[in-house]
Amino acid sequence: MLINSLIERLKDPAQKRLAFHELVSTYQRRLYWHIRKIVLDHDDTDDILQTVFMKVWSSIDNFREESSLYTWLFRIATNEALTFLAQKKKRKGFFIHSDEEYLLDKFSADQYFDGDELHRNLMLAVLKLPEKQRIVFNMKYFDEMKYEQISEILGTSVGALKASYHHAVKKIEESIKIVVDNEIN
Amino acid sequence: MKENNENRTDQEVDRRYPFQLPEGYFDALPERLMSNIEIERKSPKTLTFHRLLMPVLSVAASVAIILGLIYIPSMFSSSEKIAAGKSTDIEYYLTYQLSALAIFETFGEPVVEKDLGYEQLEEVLIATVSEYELIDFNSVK
Repeated sequence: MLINSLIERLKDPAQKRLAFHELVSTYQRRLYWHIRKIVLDHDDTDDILQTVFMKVWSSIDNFREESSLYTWLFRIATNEALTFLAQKKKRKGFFIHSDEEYLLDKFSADQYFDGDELHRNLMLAVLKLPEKQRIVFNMKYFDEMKYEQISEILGTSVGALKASYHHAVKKIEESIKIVVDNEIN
Repeated sequence: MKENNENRTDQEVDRRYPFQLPEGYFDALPERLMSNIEIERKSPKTLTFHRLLMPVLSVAASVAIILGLIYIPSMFSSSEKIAAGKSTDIEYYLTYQLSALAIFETFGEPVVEKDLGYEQLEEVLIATVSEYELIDFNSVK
């Protein structure tokens, strides 16, 4: 699939529907998991993903191609996911100090968790990270994206990203080490 | 459990995001989205009606306020009419009209929710990082 061709077809009213179907089929999995890693819950992810694609449908004519289509999609998805979490915090009346409490609750009740004890410890450690670190960690570690790609999507410098990832890894290591030490003792 | 973990390669342990999702989800999503688009495409009729109604209601509310402003001085010029409880009627009339006007203003053109710009997103992200985590970038390899 040629990206430029896809963008052209998305902007052509006669071809837009078919091109949009192709766009969704191509990017849905990556966008889904990107959002899911931020908000954790499948149903929330589904809602947000649909919102993202509806926004793409509505605003594709305004896409100026200053960034790649992939970057643009991921920016929208990140914005929507963060907005969702911010709204959740608001609705809870600011009793949630961070996303951590909300996400840990979601994780403990998640029927779709498919990992072993190591994965569980890893996820618990990841969910305790500050929002920024968690997103950077997910994109670098699970998605294996390059810093330059992450920088384009989040609008943060490569240096700041490396710092965030570095600290995230340290925190996760400490967190898992504590759990392992407790198991040994 | 530890033995199982030791036998895993880094690739198996590190890169698998340990969550599933409903079967067939991605197969169904494109069609669900196309249905949503179709529903939205058909909904502008309601919006058109609303767009026609809004100016009419705005004019009606404005006329009501003007009449109220004209009516009040004549009301207060007669203490007998005030005593008869007409002021209560006026207050209700004006309150209702002003509230309606305020409500009608919310019927305006749909406000396009602005996406967070790059700087704004970074501010959102940075705001969640504690001072401890703002380290010297030069020390990072």
